[in-house]
Amino acid sequence: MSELMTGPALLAWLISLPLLGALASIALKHGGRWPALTVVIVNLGLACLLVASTQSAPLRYALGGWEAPLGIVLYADTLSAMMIGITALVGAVVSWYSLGYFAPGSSSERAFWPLWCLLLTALNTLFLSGDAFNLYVGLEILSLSAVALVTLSSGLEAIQAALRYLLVSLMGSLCYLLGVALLYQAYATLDLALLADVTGDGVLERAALALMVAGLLLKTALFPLHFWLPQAHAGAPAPVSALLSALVLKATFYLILRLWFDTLTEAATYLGALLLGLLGCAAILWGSLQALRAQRLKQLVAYSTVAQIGYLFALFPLLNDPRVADAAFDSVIYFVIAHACAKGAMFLAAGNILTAAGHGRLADLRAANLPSAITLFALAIAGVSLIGLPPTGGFIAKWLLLQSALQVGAWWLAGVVLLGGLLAAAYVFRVLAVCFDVSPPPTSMEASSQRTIVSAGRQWSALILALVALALGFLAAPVLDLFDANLVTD
Amino acid sequence: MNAPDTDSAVPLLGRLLLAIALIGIALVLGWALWHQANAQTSLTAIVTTELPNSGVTNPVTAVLLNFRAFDTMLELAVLLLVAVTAGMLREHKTAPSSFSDRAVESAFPSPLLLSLARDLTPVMILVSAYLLWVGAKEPGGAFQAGAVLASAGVLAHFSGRPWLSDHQDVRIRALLVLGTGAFLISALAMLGVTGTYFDYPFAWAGAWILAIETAATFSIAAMLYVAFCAVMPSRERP
Repeated sequence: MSELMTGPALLAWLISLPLLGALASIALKHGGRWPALTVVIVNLGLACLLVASTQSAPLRYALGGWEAPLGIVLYADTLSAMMIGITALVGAVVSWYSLGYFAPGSSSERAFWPLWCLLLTALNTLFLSGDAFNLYVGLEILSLSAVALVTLSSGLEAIQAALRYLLVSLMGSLCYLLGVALLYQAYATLDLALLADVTGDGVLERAALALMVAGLLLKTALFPLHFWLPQAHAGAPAPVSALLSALVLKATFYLILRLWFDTLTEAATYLGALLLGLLGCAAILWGSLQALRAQRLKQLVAYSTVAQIGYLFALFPLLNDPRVADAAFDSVIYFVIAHACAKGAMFLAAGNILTAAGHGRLADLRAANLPSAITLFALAIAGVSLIGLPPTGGFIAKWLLLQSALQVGAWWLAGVVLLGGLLAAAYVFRVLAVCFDVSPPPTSMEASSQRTIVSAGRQWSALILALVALALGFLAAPVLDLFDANLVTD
Repeated sequence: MNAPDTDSAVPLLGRLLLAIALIGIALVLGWALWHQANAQTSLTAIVTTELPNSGVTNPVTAVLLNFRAFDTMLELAVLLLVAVTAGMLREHKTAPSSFSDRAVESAFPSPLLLSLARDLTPVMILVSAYLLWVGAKEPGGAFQAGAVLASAGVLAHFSGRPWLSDHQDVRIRALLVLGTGAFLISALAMLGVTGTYFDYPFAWAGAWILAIETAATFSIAAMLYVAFCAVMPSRERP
């Protein structure tokens, strides 16, 4: 068994294992969490193995022994390995949190585990597949399981948000599929590596790239296509919000990165990158301002995600610039992993506060009805990383971004990033100020006196994710070495 | 949900702009395709060359069950996901009530339906089995066979003799995962037998494919049936 799981076959295992877990937890009427938890832990081990094995050279695996263009090829380089790694890490911590979040035996608990396993299957497929149509199937599983997870929270509002999310996702998938169809019609292959060799900068390639990227942008919620995100992410149960914000958005962003810089490189223009960069800047400002105005805690965190997605796209003009492309790639990967940890921690902590206080209205939250200091500590560290202050992962990402922006003289970009940091500080301190507010709650809030105890597992899991975001600040050099071992740009 | 309201909410100017934008996109796409029209290629030649090695003689089945079996496995997982979600939402009872009330339920199904179900069900099972078997050579296969089998279930439901009363039943859960499970287990088993994921040994390829397709047929029928039951009014609530 051991030799079967190493080498390129590892790629097949990384997708099969979560699917196996999903099947087992669907088949078991009760206790579906045990196969799911086993899968999450083994997946973490496999992800470490993948990060280690991609250090020397990228892995490639032709499924069924059928080479492209006939068959489907799985492919992993250090970028995919980093994404698989951060997914496995955040997924494991969120699973631990979910054990305490959903009441055992409840219908939402029984539905959560299979859906989460399917979501993990889709995430791993998207990070590993080297086939444009296979990616479409992965996108479908991703969207459907994400929508289904949002509906786990009861109430009409969550159902409405889920329905809108479903329609937006379908629209995005169809745009992507249309782009794939154009490419297949012209080049008779779906393999990304083969497409990279044969595609040029013709009208068809540009149209296909525009369609695929537009579809994926809709799913990644880049301003102004973010309209569906705040309701969906704020309305979902806390662990689901954490998964959606930390991982699901990153998967579609990863695909945009791949298409833009690996597959259809020649069709991608600087003008397009600049447009994405400007939209990213708009997202930073708009998301932060909305977070400042938000009335509810989870809404604030969700709008902060809109802003943080903006940073990823603000880097696009720099990624296209050969002078700073390497540093900009480092910055992108750091934004992705630091935000995954920080935002995951923040949503988990917000879930604890919601449980303890019984509501999420920022104006009525007081120190008296908050959970213990562990949750608040997690919230504070995650907030500091989102602002981008040292010594957190968020700081490293922003530092690399500013450095590359100044090197090429993109002052406007540096200005927006600094302003975004200030705005982030303002909205994070809106939350932190609550922790020190000892004034008595409004008289109408009699019910809040009966404080619910939040389990230790839920508090510690939030803190652990926040501490990882902190550790990323100290471990910048080794983490970036893992990524830079063999660069995707060549 | 309230379609008339949202229709009038979009102003005329907005609709006009949307129409212009969509026509623009269509024109660009048309131009792109016309520009590329001379580069007509396809994978048909490679599929035809490799067909003898696939274990079946129908090229569509060869692509779905052998060359791109991984895609088909994940597509079955999509169906499974839909069935599980539909069942879950039913249990939650958060779906808008008008949705389930609209379907009219007859407490006493007509004797005509009952006899129709009695006479047609064996034929449907037979047709389903034929479609499954013929899939190796001619158009047909698990998806078609499963759909016919599921329609037999729908007929039974309407004639007042539903095949299952509880979609949480362990048997239906087993059926739901059977198809994807057969794919996955055989793919992993091949890792041990031939050393490559999804690489069927040549001599057994045809038999493996038939076995997987049979499992997939039952699974697809169960998934479609569960999805159908999830949107039907329940019998307990009049």
